[in-house]
Amino acid sequence: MTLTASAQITAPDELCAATARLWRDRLELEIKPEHEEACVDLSNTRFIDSSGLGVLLTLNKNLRNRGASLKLLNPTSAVCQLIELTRLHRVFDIIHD
Amino acid sequence: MSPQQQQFDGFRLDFSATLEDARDAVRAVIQWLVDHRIQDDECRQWELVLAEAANNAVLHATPEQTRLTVRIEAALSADDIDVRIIDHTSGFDWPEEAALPEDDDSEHGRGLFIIRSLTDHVSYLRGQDYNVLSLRSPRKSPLHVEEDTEETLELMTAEVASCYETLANIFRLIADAGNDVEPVALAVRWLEELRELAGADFLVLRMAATDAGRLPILGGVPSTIVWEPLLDLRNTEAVETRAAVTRQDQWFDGSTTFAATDPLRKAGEHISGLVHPLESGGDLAGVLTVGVFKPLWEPSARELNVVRSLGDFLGALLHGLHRRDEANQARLMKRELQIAADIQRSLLPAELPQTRFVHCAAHLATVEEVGGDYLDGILLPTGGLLFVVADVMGKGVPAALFATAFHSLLHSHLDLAARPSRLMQRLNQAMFPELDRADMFITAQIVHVSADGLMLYVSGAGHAPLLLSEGNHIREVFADGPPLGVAADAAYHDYSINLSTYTHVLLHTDGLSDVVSGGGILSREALHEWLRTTAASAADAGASRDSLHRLHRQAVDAASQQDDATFMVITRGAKTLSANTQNSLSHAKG
Repeated sequence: MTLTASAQITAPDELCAATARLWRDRLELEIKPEHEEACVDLSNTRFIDSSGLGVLLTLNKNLRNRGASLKLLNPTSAVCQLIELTRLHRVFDIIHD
Repeated sequence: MSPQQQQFDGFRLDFSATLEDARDAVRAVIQWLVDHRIQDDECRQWELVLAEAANNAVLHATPEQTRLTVRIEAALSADDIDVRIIDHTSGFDWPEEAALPEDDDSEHGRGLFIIRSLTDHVSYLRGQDYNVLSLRSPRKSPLHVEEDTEETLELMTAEVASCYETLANIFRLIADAGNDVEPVALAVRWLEELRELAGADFLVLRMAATDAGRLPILGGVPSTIVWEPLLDLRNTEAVETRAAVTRQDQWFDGSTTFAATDPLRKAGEHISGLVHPLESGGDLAGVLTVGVFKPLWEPSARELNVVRSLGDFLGALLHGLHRRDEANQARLMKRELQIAADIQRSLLPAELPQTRFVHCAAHLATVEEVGGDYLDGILLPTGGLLFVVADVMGKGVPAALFATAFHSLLHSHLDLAARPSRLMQRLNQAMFPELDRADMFITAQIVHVSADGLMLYVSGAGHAPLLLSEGNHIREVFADGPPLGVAADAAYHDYSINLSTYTHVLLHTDGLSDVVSGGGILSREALHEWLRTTAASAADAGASRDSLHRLHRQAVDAASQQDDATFMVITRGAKTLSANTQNSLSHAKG
């Protein structure tokens, strides 16, 4: 079995315009170049808006460009609904337990 | 943020233009919806929509615009949930269609799509100083019906009592207005009534004026406060201006920061209250400010109802009175001008006098309007003739009054007619004080023709020259004394002319030719040429007058000006003339 170097990050309760910048800074600190994937736990994220989606999209693109991947873990129904409304379920790798 | 939830039928909140405060404001709206038993999934949708909308209102603000607050209002009806967001940014162009970005990886460009997708109706009004985003969706949660019958009955009773009170006051107001009371007195009396009814400390009523950019004060209580007489609507920082421009109630309280130029600062620092816009027939009729001298005003529903309903009615009533006064003023002015025109017309001779040797015909500038031109022709007891052409500076009633005085004085001093200079001097002495006081003057020309038609004496007061024809030769006589009303002791002179060699004489005001003032329409050369041609054709006075009028009209039409010339043609023939006295005076009809 091969172990993948993975960054485990928990998203905030609210991933929105007011919190996006702070969280983006945190991602930069927690995701290292050696990480082949980043797993963002969205199970506690009660609210997300287009700015929050924007942070996830940028993270996804940056990881993909260096051969790594992003996984969204257990998003709440509110997050799922927005991802589907904006057709981003085609972009993100979403994993439910 | 210290959000100040203000008085409003629904929810209203002003917040600073920051993302953090926008988030707090959206949370507050959602809590209000929850409190009104809107279901969770509905609230979740609105939370997302409002977050996107509030972020837009903040993100488009320039550093200067972040000083201005953003307002969010929400209202519930039986069928819909309505939300408005009003910001003071430069705004943005709302797209016809809000689509998702073509690039799935794009970080931006989904906000408007989310708003469109989750609301039934969206409109975005982009104004010069503010933008309004209106959002509406049908409510999915049924309207909550209060089961507490006793409380419902109490509320209904209070509402009926409030309506009855308002109605009773409106009847009293109608009765009061029917007593032909002056609008300012009516306004002040009813502002006092409203102060009592609303439990307020001060009220200011401003009514829209003809000048759309300003709202002058009509009344204010208490009278101990010296209110700003004019509200300049360009002062967009004033609370009253915001009510006038948005046509929405504007609340203020202890936390409101009044601009240095805000007229409400006159009421003091720790005040609170409401500015209510008044409308009449869709137009802004004015603004009514009601306030108290304490940081927070908490009027009851009854008091608010009275302020709004009675204020609206008072505004509409006063607006109507103002319009009625304006219409009366216009009618009065028209009537006065009509009277002045009638007076002026009554001064004119029905026909000009003719003798065996001398004929004359004249044309007077428009008599439909009130003007300053005057002419007269008088057959003297000696058989001689006196001709006068004058021009009172200006138009309208004052000019007509001076023309009347001139006429009366002229006719009461006909004993001086044989010496035009003495007559002119007498007229000047008599009229100088009044003309000087009114800062007006009169130019005039007085001509006396002897009974045998052989001698002509002329005296002028700042008037155009007299023109005479002798075959091809044209002579100009500048009898140039000062206009009447310029100097009390002005001296005038007579110029005597032997008429035996002349056939045509022309007297005229400045409106005909530019010889003196440059204000006339015909050039000096054109006038000379006309007189030569007329003399050569031996035309009589009437025909000469008509041909000059035609010439003048052509010039007037070409220059698109008004026909404002007055002139008189005197003819003398070697032979005895037939005494044709018909149509010797023509009028230009306005």
